[in-house]
Amino acid sequence: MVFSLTISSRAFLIVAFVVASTQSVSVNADDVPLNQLIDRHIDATLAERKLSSAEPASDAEFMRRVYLDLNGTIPEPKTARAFIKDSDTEKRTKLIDQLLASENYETHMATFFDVMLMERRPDKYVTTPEWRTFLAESFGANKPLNTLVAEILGADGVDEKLRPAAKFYLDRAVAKDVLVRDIGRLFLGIDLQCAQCHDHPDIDDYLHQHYHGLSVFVAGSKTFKQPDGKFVLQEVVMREVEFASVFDPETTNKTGPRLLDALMEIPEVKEGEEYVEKPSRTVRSVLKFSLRKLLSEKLPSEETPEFARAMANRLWAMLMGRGIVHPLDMHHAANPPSHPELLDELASRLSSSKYDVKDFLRELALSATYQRSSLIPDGIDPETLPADSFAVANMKGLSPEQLFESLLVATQASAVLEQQIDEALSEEAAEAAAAKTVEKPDSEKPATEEPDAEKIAEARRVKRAARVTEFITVFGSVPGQPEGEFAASLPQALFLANSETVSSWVPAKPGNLTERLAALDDSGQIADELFLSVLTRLPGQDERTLVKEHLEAGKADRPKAVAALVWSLLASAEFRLNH
Amino acid sequence: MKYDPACSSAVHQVSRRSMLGNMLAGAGGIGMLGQLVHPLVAKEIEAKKKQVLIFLLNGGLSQFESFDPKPNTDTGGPFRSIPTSVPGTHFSELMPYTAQIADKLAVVRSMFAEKVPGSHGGAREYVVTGRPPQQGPYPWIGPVYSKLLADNEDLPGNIHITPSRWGPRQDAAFLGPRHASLVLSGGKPPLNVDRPDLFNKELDDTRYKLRQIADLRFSQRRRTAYTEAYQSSYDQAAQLIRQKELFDVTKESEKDQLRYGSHDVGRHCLMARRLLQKGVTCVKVTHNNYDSHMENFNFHLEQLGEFDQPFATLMQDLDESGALDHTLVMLVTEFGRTPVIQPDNGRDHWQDSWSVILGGCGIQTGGVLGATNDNGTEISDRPVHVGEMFHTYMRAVGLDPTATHQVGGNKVPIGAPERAAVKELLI
Repeated sequence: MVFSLTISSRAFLIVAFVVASTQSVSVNADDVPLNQLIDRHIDATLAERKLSSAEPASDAEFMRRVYLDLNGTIPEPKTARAFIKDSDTEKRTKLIDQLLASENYETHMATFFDVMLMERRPDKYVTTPEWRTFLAESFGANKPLNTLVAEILGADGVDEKLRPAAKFYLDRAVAKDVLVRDIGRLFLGIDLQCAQCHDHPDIDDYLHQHYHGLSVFVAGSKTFKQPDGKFVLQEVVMREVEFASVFDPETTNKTGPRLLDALMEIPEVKEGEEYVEKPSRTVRSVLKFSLRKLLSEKLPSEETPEFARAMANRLWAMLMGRGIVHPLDMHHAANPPSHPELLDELASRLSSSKYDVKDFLRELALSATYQRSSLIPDGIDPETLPADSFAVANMKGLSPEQLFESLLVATQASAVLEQQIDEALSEEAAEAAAAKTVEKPDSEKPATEEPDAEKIAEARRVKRAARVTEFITVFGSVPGQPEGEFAASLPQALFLANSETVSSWVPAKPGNLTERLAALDDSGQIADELFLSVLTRLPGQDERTLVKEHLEAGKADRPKAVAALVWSLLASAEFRLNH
Repeated sequence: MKYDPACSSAVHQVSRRSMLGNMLAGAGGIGMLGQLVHPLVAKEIEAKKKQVLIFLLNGGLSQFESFDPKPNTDTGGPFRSIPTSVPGTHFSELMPYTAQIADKLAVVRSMFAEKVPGSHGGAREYVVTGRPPQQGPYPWIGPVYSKLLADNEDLPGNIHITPSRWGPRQDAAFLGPRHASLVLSGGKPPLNVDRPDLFNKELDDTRYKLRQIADLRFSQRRRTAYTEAYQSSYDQAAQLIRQKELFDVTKESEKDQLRYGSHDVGRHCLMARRLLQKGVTCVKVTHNNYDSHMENFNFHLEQLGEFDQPFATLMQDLDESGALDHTLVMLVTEFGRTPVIQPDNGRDHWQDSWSVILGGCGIQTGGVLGATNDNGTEISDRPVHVGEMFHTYMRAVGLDPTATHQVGGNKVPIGAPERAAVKELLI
């Protein structure tokens, strides 16, 4: 058994070690591909708990899942049909590689990490498109995850290339307590909020000094408004903070910068010589020794084993629908991992692979654990298969973005959407032109400007984003809070049933699914195309019969009858969930 | 050393208790409420379904210009006080209609809360969750009623009528969106309640039927927690679309429309009556614009001039129909306003003392609990903390605030565990 983690005095690691030793799976971890290692650990625990597991997912089920997880959308029907027909035994592996190499992977990862790191806060100083582009480029280039996090934690917003990375700090207004909490939750898997005023009342591992030790890193940082109006970060001298428990206000404690129990040494700097640029109203203060820089070096590194564990756990949850430690920001002794040894392995592989995200996700997706069906084995009570056993694929709700993109693919309404966007834009242009005509006499009118292709593309992008925002408003979490578990609400059902956005894609329009299906004669063919397009699978015999009967009953107006079928599948739980 | 905690934990139950304990220990005396026993038999109340009507006056209603007037004092402002239907109890002259139904109300004049972060929003959250906002997010009271009184109903359990564009987003917190307020923005029907042209009535039924067949097939041999919630959201939607006239206040008699008035709050009160009659468990009406940092008196003259009559009319209607026996009514605001009158005739925020009104189901009405001193600068009798009121709102409809919500594997107390209901207010 290999333990790359330093066994510190921290209680939870000791517990993890003890539990791991008793459940030891005899595996020589180094020689075995991670995907097999995952299955050995998961299966060993299933055997130990005497749980049966689901059958492997069908090609169709696997394909839909892996598309949504790695590319953020469902596949097109012809792609799905080809994959299902393909007899290549390596086709699943090839598909995973293809999806990881796709441009959709970059945008999907950018969205996923944006939502994870910014939690749908409104933009403040760095716009979401800039930030997403930065993230997409990072994931496209497969930038090591520790490097990405180091860039985020070390950002000052001055360097143009890395300016978007400063969004994490800047759009939280560099508010110390918000940052301490979010750095702990997101990068260490530890929610320290209750340790701000005292040791955590319920969690023995979370200490008052952990909170304040982490706060030292960012306590000296503030925003600075440059002469050009741009907000950046500046830093003033901070070496330690004083704190006292609300239960014992008389006793003052001190701590320097610390990452949990690891107290950082910082170089002595002579008083008066701390600054490269001294603080003033007009100049951004810059320290010779930056604590934010220190944080960016020490946190996403081997010296802070919690980082690799937290990241491995988050990526695992992204694909497996649940963390090995769950909730994701509650790593502590009283909330042990469901598979302690596996989590250690995942963390160690993630760090030994130089935080290669693609490789890590690839291995997860290759595992039989990931490729299990969400169908509960026949005759088994679902209650006996707990979510943390990974005996059955855990279902996930589609994110607002996944839902939007998948609806668009399913209804084949890209052309319809483009037309809607262009109509809206030309309406706006006409209105603006009319307003100009009123304002100025003819003689002063500027010559008609040549439409600028870049401007048009940008206007289209903005309009499309506004459509996605509608989905975020209805299906997304509250700004500033993590996405919760899947939950269904009345306004969501009303939105999918009746909103202009969704309902305008469903009826027969040039090139869309309903039009295409309504033009087909054979009801069996219609059923096949319908199910492949919307649910990424072929229909069962019962479903073919249902389609046939419905089309016969509605033969007076076939496009309408088809539209009802299309909608019923779009609004089904099977579409709404990643299963 | 002081902290301003930025925390927002659902398990934060520390401190402050000791501070408040001292204050409460010093408070004695019960108002005149104890002497008035409501003639209702408890069993009868139990038999009827409990409903709740909440009025939320946004911005901070001035206690001086409403339920705790201090005429002829340095803080009292220009308005007189008038007698009410309860001998000895006076309201501001800005509330002549409400004064006539004072016997159907319980007035609490000694509400207080600690200052919390987030100004109006934070203080409002404190009032409607019973917990300081930085400990949250906790569910607002409407979603709590929806969860505890209307969990299995087809109608939405909690409807919020507001002049604003949005209601609070996801006010149900951990209770889940099933119980979040259905917002009637501008008193209009919810968004997306109209069928698209494509689906006429018949085809509409068909598409829901087809959808359900698909769901039934999918949910066989799958964990049901998600699929059941999903199915139920469509059941609710289909119900709602069929009952669109629920939101059509023009279906009410012309006479009633005149009685309630043609302004927004009048229409909204009539809508509230309609929704309660149709069986909606919890209805909340908000009225805006009480944040009178300047021109406090003109503001209150105008706002209460609108609010007073429809509020009293609604109370009267509920009383006459017998609905008050099973309907709890509360009129709350996030905080009161300062005794000191600012140079530009404004009053600022004031969390040291303000007034809250209760009525209907489970409430000892016809009295006043608590008091402020002669010029309203401090509480002189029976301080009532916002957290205690939350417990009281629960007890009044027969719910136990010391019970717990199940949140994942955790148990979260319904009311702040360090608080208890105000017994003097309950039957």
